Amino acid sequence: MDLRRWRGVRFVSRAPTKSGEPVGLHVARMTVPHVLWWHSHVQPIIDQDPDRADRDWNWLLYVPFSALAGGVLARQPVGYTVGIHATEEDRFIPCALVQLLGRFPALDSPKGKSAFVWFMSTAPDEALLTIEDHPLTEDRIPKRLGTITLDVAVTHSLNKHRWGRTALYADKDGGNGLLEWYQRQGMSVLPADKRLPRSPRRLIKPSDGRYCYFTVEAALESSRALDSLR
Amino acid sequence: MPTPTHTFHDIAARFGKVDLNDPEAVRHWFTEVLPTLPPGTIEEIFEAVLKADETTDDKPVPRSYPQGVPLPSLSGSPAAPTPLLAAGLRELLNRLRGQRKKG
Repeated sequence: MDLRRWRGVRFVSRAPTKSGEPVGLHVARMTVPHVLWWHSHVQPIIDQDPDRADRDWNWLLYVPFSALAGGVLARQPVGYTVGIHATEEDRFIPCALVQLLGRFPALDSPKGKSAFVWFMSTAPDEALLTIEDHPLTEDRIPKRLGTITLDVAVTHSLNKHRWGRTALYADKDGGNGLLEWYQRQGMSVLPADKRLPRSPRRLIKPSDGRYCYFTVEAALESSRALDSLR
Repeated sequence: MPTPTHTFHDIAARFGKVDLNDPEAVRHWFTEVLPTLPPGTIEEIFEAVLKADETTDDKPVPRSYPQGVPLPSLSGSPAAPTPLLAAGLRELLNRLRGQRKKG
């Protein structure tokens, strides 16, 4: 029996770095100060990069809207911030944000439920190297932030009776590179000719070959792969 | 994932008659006004956001960033809880029954 399906799974608590020494991470529920700091310091740097799919995002709008709309539609919205803890100075450095819907029809099981990643973003290195009141050095920048942030969604799914099932829509701006990255993480792609499960999205934003999802088995495997960082 | 920011500006202008070139007014409408609207209207707006997401082009967004925001505090960012069990008691019993049937 796989205990991961029965007991709560801990979030990742450290990330590898260039120095070889892991850096301590902290996964917190997303709060307004996290988002405000992100929009003042990280987003301006992202906005300068034409290749980023999250260019011109505004978390100050997404978070209240996701919480409200997700709540009205009983989608159980939740946001997480992945950050570095600086315990001595009582500071928390957000390195990634993820906004989820905790209750979404599963893409691979007609009756099952899944988590759905609505927004996910990781800080570029430059943003972490230029923090005025707490600059990090290059060899202390956390690596694998994308994988770790996706794992936060999978962990939420595992801990909320969704068996790890997690879905998302790969932004078209990310092109094939983004789609392939999700596939490398173990996600499957819903073929363009396969319909979404019954939900407003089926009509409004139908399947076009960019919806990705973790099956239960793939989610468990992906989760196990990060156990050394929990 | 995800919805472009200009979609939110367009929606605020359409449903709230807000100046779509005023990021602060758009933010105020989403955080303060929208929650006061009836659930049916919120659902309509939600669907409009998704629909616009599908159809709008890549339009420029007026950028505005808050200045001088300090790093969040660690004490104000408690760790997300890890539940002891991955499901409620009823769900666990159902899973156990399922396992027994399989066995």
